[in-house]
This record gives sequence, structure tokens and C-alpha cells, in this order.
Amino acid sequence: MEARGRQFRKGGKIWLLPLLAFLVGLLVLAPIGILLYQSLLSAPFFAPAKRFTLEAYRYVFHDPYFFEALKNSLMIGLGMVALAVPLGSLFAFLVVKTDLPFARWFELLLLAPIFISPIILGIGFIVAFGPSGFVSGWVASLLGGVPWTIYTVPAIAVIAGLTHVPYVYLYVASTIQNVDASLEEAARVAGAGPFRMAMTVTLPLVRPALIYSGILMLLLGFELFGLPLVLGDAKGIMVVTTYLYRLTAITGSSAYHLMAAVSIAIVSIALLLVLLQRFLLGRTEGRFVAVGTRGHRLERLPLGRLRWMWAGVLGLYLLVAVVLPILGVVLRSLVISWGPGVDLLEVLTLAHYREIFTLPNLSRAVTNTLLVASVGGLLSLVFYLFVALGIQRGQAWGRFLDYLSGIPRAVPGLVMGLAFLWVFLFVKPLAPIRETLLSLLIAYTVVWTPYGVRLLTAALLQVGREMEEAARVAGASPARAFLNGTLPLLRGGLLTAWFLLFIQFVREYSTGVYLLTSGTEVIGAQIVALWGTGAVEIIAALATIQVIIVGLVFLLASRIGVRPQGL
Amino acid sequence: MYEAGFKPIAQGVAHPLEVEGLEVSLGGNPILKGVSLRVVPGEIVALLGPSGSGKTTLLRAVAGLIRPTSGRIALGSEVFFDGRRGVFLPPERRNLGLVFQSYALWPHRTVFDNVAYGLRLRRIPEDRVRERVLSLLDRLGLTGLERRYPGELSGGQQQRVSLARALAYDPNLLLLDEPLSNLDAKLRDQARVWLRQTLKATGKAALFVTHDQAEAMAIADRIALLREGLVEQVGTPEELYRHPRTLFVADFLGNPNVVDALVLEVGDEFARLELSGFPVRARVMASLTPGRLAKLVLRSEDLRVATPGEVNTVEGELAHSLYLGAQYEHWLRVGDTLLRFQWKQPLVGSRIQVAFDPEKALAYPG
Amino acid sequence: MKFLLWLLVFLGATVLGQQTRPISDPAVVEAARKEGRLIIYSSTDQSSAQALLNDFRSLYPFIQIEYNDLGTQQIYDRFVSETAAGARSADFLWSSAMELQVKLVSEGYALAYDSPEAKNWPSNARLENLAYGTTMEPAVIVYNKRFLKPEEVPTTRESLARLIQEPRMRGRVATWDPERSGVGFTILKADYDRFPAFQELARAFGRAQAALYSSTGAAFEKVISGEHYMAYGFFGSYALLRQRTVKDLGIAYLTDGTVAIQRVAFISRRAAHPNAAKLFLDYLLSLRGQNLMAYTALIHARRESVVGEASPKAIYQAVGGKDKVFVIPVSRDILRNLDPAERLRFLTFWRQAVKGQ
Repeated sequence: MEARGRQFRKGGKIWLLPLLAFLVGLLVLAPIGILLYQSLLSAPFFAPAKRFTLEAYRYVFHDPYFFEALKNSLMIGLGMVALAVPLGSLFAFLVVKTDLPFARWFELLLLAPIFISPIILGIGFIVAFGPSGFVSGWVASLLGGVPWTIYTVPAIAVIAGLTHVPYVYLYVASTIQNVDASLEEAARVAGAGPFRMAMTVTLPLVRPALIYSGILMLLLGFELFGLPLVLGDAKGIMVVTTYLYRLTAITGSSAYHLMAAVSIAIVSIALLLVLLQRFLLGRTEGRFVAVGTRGHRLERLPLGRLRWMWAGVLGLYLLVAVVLPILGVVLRSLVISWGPGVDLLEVLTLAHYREIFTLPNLSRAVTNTLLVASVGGLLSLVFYLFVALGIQRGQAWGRFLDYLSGIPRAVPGLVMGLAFLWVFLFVKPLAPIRETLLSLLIAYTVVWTPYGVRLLTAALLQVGREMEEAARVAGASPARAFLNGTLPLLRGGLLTAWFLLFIQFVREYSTGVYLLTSGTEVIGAQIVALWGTGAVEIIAALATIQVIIVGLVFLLASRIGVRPQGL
Repeated sequence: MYEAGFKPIAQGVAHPLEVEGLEVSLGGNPILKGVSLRVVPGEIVALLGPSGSGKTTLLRAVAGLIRPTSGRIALGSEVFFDGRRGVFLPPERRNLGLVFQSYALWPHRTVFDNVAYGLRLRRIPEDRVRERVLSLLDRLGLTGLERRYPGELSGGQQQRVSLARALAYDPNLLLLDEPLSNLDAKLRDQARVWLRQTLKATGKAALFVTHDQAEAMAIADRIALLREGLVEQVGTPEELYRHPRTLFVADFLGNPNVVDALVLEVGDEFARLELSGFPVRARVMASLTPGRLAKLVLRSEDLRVATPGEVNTVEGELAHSLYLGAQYEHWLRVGDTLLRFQWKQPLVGSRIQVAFDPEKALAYPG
Repeated sequence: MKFLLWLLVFLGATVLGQQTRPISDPAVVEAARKEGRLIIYSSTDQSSAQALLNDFRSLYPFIQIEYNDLGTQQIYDRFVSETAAGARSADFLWSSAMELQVKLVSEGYALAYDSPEAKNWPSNARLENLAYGTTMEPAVIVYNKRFLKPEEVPTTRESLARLIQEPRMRGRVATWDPERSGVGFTILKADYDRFPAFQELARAFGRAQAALYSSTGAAFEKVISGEHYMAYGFFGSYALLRQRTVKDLGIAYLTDGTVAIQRVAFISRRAAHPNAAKLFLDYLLSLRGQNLMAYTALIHARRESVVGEASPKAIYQAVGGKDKVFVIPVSRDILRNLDPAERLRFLTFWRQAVKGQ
């Protein structure tokens, strides 16, 4: 195994990489740049009277609520890491490597939270596990009381952790598949049983995936909006995103400079996290170049008598984190009211579903959403592919791209949305596209960069460079060599990545709020609007339909070969 | 039995490896169709064959990485697999050493930790582990590299670390999968000698897979030549070379000329055939029928320029001559066929006569 | 029974109302025909507004309406940003964030327009001829009948404060969080400014560990499910709407004084379709439009003469007199609420009373 890094010169077009870096930088830094500029002013940047000042930062850093929000967000992020990373890795190992029963069903259910909007998940948890929830009621009838609460920071951290397991699962599962089988076989022959092998060989080799997903969890933790909104509202639990609402309440109208200052603070934290990630990975990078021989695959590890125990563990997780909340949502969509004292049979109704169809602009919202998610997902996929290639093959530029692409997700979606509004308003050449779906698409693409780029990095890792190098030797240009050599092999990974991006774009809601006009509504924003007026049952009905549709698409996709962990 | 250096951890009874009637199917395709083999302690056996012959499958089945469909594998009294009784011992319980073709060194572990892995699993006290690993690294010429990572080593060094790792816990049997194929050609020649010496020094039974017949002949005590899932012939290199039972074996070892010849007359040991019009005599290797075509195997080193008066000769025109440094390689056109042979001098001319001993010429049914 | 009565009245009014078109200047109608479009930024959710939009369209089919259902903050942010950039923005702004609307008006964003329909419009429902209050939405008590009997539900602040001191009410009360909700701030501050008994009530909230919400929907959902028994200070309009489907929901009005919010509408000075906007404003203020708001949309009419479930008359009846309703006036006075010092004054009290800080 020749583990030395192979130098791959891109040959002629040396300006390609800097150009890409410039483009990415522009897209990512434009909204952030505006925010930075705004944070240093005393008034909206488009107001006639303004001056440069640091008072925004001074205010925010002296506000105890800011630190409370920061602390809460951090705690939630850490909770997500502590829960999602171990569980996601364990489940990935169980499903991918062992002879776990019902593996395919588990996988489908495991990925379900990705398909569902966080607000809806939050509603589901309330209906299931809230003080008036049906699970709580059942437990109370057994134990006399409910031993848990879902309205505290630790509870939100746990719920966030549980519902983010799929993200970790995806990364780790695909990496596990990349591990050179002979490394595992060598351990077996040397005397290690299946689990000793998993812990001492497989796990260390998937460390990059663990680090990536851990950092991603932290980033997502700061950006978390839907769950704290729904679950934290009652006790006024503040996280960074909901803190922004507070800022507005202080002055009564938008304090852009304060919001911008908060966002820049978060961006700095995100940069630190990306730095941390590079540091954690960097030392080990060379040692993990597993030139995956796709040849022999060990038979699935037998779990022996513990088979059913592990299936039970996985089943329990799915029950608590997926099945019951979804059941809660479905239930809510079918009843007029609920809670203790309500005879469910009396209040069953399909009225909410009927009402969905009377929602104005729903069909347009659905069409728009599908358009943005499918076509937009495809376009952003191409963009992410370029960035991932740049990171993989560029040296210094690659590092730069890596930092850039890690930032966008940390900024709260609402603020990003506002920043994008400003970009499209005040950068004159861009003005015409503001009221089209394209502006939405660009905003989505930028905001999901960390996620999308990571997906493609994983896919690229799986495909070696030999095909491409062979094509180069045969005389093909770098571009052609990639198209003919690597791209065909990448197809499966690309398809899967596109599918996952599709899901995310369908769920997305906060980023586009400012860019939406009548004509460019999307489902996600409708849900937020409906939440505002309290039409929870309509949201639940919409969500149920959404889940069914996405579930069907997923089943269809896996029929045609999309295997999410086969990235 | 042992040469100086390798102290076994546990003095065990000598264990021969017995493979009986092994059948393996992968993905519905039958790969091994009934293979039997025996390897005695101290013996090095090569599994040789073209790709697809099942040699690697056989090795992996012995290692326990593949579950056969029927047959039996046992090492001494320890049964690894018995199809009839449903016995299957997982790989970690077989106490074998396996050197992978890609070496399969764990990139996240140092050389020391790679080699010590198996020892630590067996709960050997750390000071003894240290002692054993370091002495093993010494024996294999890897002194001072114990803190390095595999990625920092050369191919040859990685191969030796892989071997050290396999030897560390004193396995009952050593398995090697194409151990030399990843080395540079120049290294390979030296490595052959070194590998045989090292394996012999351990005194253990060793089974290795290779597609390179020269390598098999150089290293192994016995060769099992596989073809499409069955053992074509087992024997010492010399047996296979000099007395190949089938045309396949004859053709596989060395790089002989294989030409068509018409059978004229068949005797007990020898037969008379006509090669492009020339009458020659050759050894009967299998039943031949007069009047039918036979395949005649003529090794190039057994052909020589005829001295006047020699009887077993053919005549032809010189087609090419290649200068190889130590000698010339000449290609002679005899009728429709080309015969290749080595000769120290250059040759010129359109009528060259080439002779061979009948014992060295092998005739098989066509 | 009550419902039947209202139904009859409704039918009668509809029949009458159908006949009446809004009074609009024909020249404006002509000009609007040429404009052909209307862009609205509104915080009234689409479903509620749909009835109005459809009716308006039936009157003026040549006007294509672009209705943007946005949050109050988003309306402000977008409008201000777009205007500053010289980009296309709203013609008509309709929002329940009174301070923000008045702020925009006082900063010169509004088009002066004397609507013919506003001839007798209440003085506290208009800011000169720049902005108009279009609704009168009371802050009410919403409760769950499964846990509180209608007789139990108090109708004065004092008795409410007493009720929620009971142990069974611990954690069962909800109200606005003025620190996270603009409109919540407006309502509670008006309560605080106007009704001294509110202070004791606020302290009672604190002792009862009341849950504070930033959105109506969240609070109502908790009341419906029984997690909370009651919620204080939320929009009566939403309550009426939910009550239609959720029979367990009860509404109680405060008889010692009820705060009411007005949804403020104004036309942008830089509107691209000012005449269409004028027509829409006329419509909203007209009897026809107000009737619809009182019956179908349930967003509470402002016009005194309207009869219906969601009308001033009904509120006066429930509360016990016109003098008991404190309608927050559409006037520049409300800009006080945007003054940081003024805000701090209330918030300091609030934090101290409710959170013990």
C-alpha cells in the first residue's frame, strides 16, 4: 500500500482554482461582509445619518442575555455532539457492518428526522412527550407522574441530539464502507473478535468522519432555530437565534447593527470551529489515505446472541426519537383538540387536510419548493462539487476554500436571509434576480455549503484517482480526464448527495423569508407563517403529507440505487 | 527444525494442514470445486495458477475469511471447517498468520503497535511484548523503525513489517497472499531468497499464493497448481517442471514452445511424431492416438543448434534474433510454427537445424 | 342560540352589504384600472385575508393583487430596505405592529389620502390622513373549559390575580413575553399605562410562574392541550377563529377595562400603484369590507356601526360599555413606546414583577 500522497498537478489551467476560490469567497463573504459593515455602524447602513462605531459590539458583549444565549447554544451544541456522534457511529456500524435484523427498515426510519422540519419535530415531541402528551399520560398512569420535562435546556439538547443522529449516521456510514476491508481482516486473523476489531481498527479509521460530524453538530447547534423556538418559548429559553428577537424588543424596531454584531460574533466562533476541525484532522490526514481496495468484502459480522439486543437498542432509539414524535404530528393533524380530558375518538377529523387544499397559494408554494429543491439542488450540487474538488486538490487554495465553506451554516438563517436581501437590493447588477426563485436558490446554496461540500468530499474520497490519472496518461486534459474517468464512478455518490440536498432545500425556511414574494413562496415559509398564527393542526397536516411524499420518494430512490450511506 | 533466532512462545506439537474436498461458492458462482491439499510443518507450499483459478479463495478459506460450502479444513486436531458437521471456526480463533498482498498495515498505528497487536490481544505482559517485537523487528532488518508509521516506510519495509506482525504471536501456520508482487523487480529476486530463508527459519508450515511461476519454483518446497477451482497437479517444483502431468502444467511452468505435431506411432515411453514435416521423437505424457494431432512441448532451454549427425532435429529459417546480453534468443520458423530457443552465438542463415532430447520433449493429446 | 341570532343578523347584513359598494372617487378607479396591480405587505395571515381579497377582486377584477403575508418585523425590514435601495416595494402596508407603522408614517413614508370612507372615522383610529386603524381587536382571556368553568373565570384584573394565586394554577397561566414580542409589548404596556390593577396582576403572574410566549399560536396550542388552563392578553380575533373549531376554548373579556389593538394601514408615498392602494384602503374602511371582517374573516371590524360577532358593538356588550375599552390610538404618542428609556421603564417593572429580577 503506497500511502504517500500523490501530487496531482492540474496542469495548464492554474487560474481555475483561484477563480473558484474567488467566486466562493464572493458568495459566502458578500452577505457576511454586509453584516460586518453593518455591525460597525450606528444605524442601518442605508440610512442617511450613520457613523462608524463599536457600540453595537459593546452593547452585545455587555448584555448578560447574550452570554446566556451563547451558553445555551453551546450547551445544546455539546449535547448534540455527545449524543448524536456516539449514537450515529454505533448505528452506522450496526447497520452497515453487522447482520443486524431489519437493517434496511432501520435505515429508512433512522433517516426520517432529516425529512422533517424541526418546528414540526418540536410539535411532535410536545404532543408525544409534553406535559399533556400521550406518552406522558401513559407513563403518568403507570408511575403516577412524569419523570421528565421537555422544556429545559438539557431536554432541548437531548432532543436536538437525538434528532440529529441521521447527519452523523450518513457521514460515518459512508466512511465505514470506504475502510479497506483487508485492514479489518488483518485484525480478525490476528485474533480480534468482531467488536474488538470495530473498536481498534474500524473506529480509528473513520475518525475523520467523526470529527467532521462533531464539528457540524456544533455549527448546527448555534444555528438551531425551530426546536428552541417551539420548545423553549414557554420558559423563555434563549439561544442565539431567539436572542435576535430579543434585540428587536429592546428598541421596538430592528436594531440591524446589533443583529449584525451578534452574527459576526457567531461567524468568528464558526471560524474557530473550522480551525479546530482542521487541527484535529490535520495531524492524521496523511495516515488515513486508505486507498480502498474494493475487492473482498467480509461477510457481515455476526452479532451472535446479542443480535436481538442491538436491534432492541436501535428500535428503542427510533421509537423515542422518530416514531413517537411523528405519531404525535400525525395525531395532531387528525384531531381538533387534544390533551388530558379529551376523548380522542370524539375529536378525530379530516377537516385539517381538507383545509390544506383551501390554503391560498399552496399549489404554487409546492411547485416552487419542488423546483428550488430539485433543479436548485442540482445546480448547487455542481457548485459544491467544484468546491469539494478544489479543497481536495488545491493546496493552499484548498485550505482557504475549506475555511470559507465551513462558515455559512453558523449564521442564524433569519439574519442570513436579511443579509441576502440587502445583497440583492443594494448590489445593483443583482437586483433583477431578487424577485425570482434564483435569489432564493443562491441563498440556499450558500447557506448549505458546509453540508453539501462535506457530502461530496466523502463521495470523492471513495473514488480513487487512478481512473483519472489513467486518462491523463492517455492524453486527456484535466477536465476531460475528470469527466471520463472520475465522474462516472461518482455517479452514485452524486445522486445520493443530490437527494439529500433536495430534502434540505424542501425543509429550509428561515433563510428565504426576506426574499419571498408572492410568486416565490415555499412550503417552509408557509409553515413558519402558520406557526405564527397558531394553526398548529394545519402545520401538522402539511407535515404529515410532506413526510409521506418524502418517504415515498426515498423508497423510490433506493429502488433505483440511491443508498444514502453508499455515498 | 529451527534455525537460531525464533523462540516459539508455546512449544506446540507439529500440526499439518489438511484440506479435503473443499468447495467454495461466492455469489452463486462456484470458485473451488473440490480441492484437497496437505501441508506439513516446516514445509512451504505455493498455490500457483492463473487468475480466476481460486488460489486466493483457497487461502482465504483456510484463513477463515470465507465460509466454504462443503469440505473440511483442519490443522492437526483443530478443525477449522467441517461442512458435514456444520463446524466453522471464526478467523480470530484459528491462530494463523496472514500477510496480505497490500500488507494491510494499520495506518493509524506505529510499526511497533502493528506488530504488537496480536500479542496484546493474547494478554502477553507488556515487557515480554516489547522484547518479542523488538527482537522480531531486528531479525527482519527493521531495527529502529518501531516508532514510524506505515505511511513513512518503503514498500519493502512495509512487507517485512507485515511479516513480522504475522509471526509475532507464533502462529501455527503462515499464509501469504502474493507476498512479493508489490515489490520492484530488482528487489524481488533478492526477496525471494530472503523470504524462503526466513520462512524456513521459523520452521512453520507456510502456504503462499502467487501467479508468478518463477517465484513459486524459487521459494516453495511443493507447488499446488490450480486451474478453474481444482488442483491440476501437486509436487515439487522439479516434478512439475520435468514431469508435468497435463499440458496445462507443462505450459504454465517456464515458457515453453507448444506446437502441433501429428502422431505417427505410439510406444510405451516414446512416440514418433511429425513436426512440420520433420520426424521427431518425444515422451508420451498421456495417451496419444496415431493419426491425430498432439501438442508437443519443447522448452526453449532444451533446444540447441544441431551438431552434424544428430537425429531428433527440425530445420527452419531464422525469423528473429534478440540479444539478451548473456545469450541470444533466436526464433526459428519451422513450417507454420515459430520455435524459440537460446544460444550463445548469433546465428545466420535460412537453414538452421535444431535438435533436442526425446526425454525433454513432452507430447500431450491435442 | 346566540349563534343563530348572529347568523340571522349576518344574513341580513350581507344582503344589505352586498348592495353597497365602497365609496370611491371614480377618477381613482379609472387610474387604478390603468395601474392594474396592487402590492400589499400585510401581517394578516393569508387565510383570514382571503375573504377580503376575493371580495375586493369581485369589485375590481382588473386589479391583480400581490398579497405578501409577512411578520410585522419583516414588513418593516423589507419595506425600509427596499425603499432605501430604490427597489420595488409595497404599495399598501397593513400591520398590527402599531408603533412600527406609525414610525414609518412619521418618517414620511406615507401618502396623504383622505379616504371618502373615513368621513366619520373615529379620531383615535386615524393619524391625520396618513394612516388608519382598520380593526379593533381586544386583548382577551382565553381558557380551557375542561379545566376552568366559565363561572370561575374572573373578569377583573383583581379577581384574576386572586385566581391565579391558587396552587392549582401554578404553571398553568400564559401571557405575552414583552421582551421577545413587539405586539406583546404593545398590549402589556398599554395595560400597564392605563390600568393600575395590572401591576398586581403582573406580580401574580410571577408568583404563579406564568409561561411567557412570543407568539399567539404557541400560547393557544398550550391552552387547547390543557398544558395551560388560561392565557391572558392575546388577540380576541384569533381566539374567535380557534373557537370555531375547538369547542373547549372559552373567551372571557375583562370588565374593568380591556385593551384593544388596531391594525394600521397606510399607503406608501412611493407606491407604484397608488390608486389601486387607495381603492383597497377605501374597501377596508367601507361597510362592506368591515362587515366581512366582522363575520367571515373574524379580524374585528373598527366601524362602530357594524353589527356582528367581531365588532365594536359586540365588544362593548361583552366588556360592559364603550368606556371600558381602551383602544390604543393611532397617534404619534405611541412612538413613546420606541423610546429606549420608556421601554426600559416598563421592562424593568416587568422583569421585577414577573421574574423577580
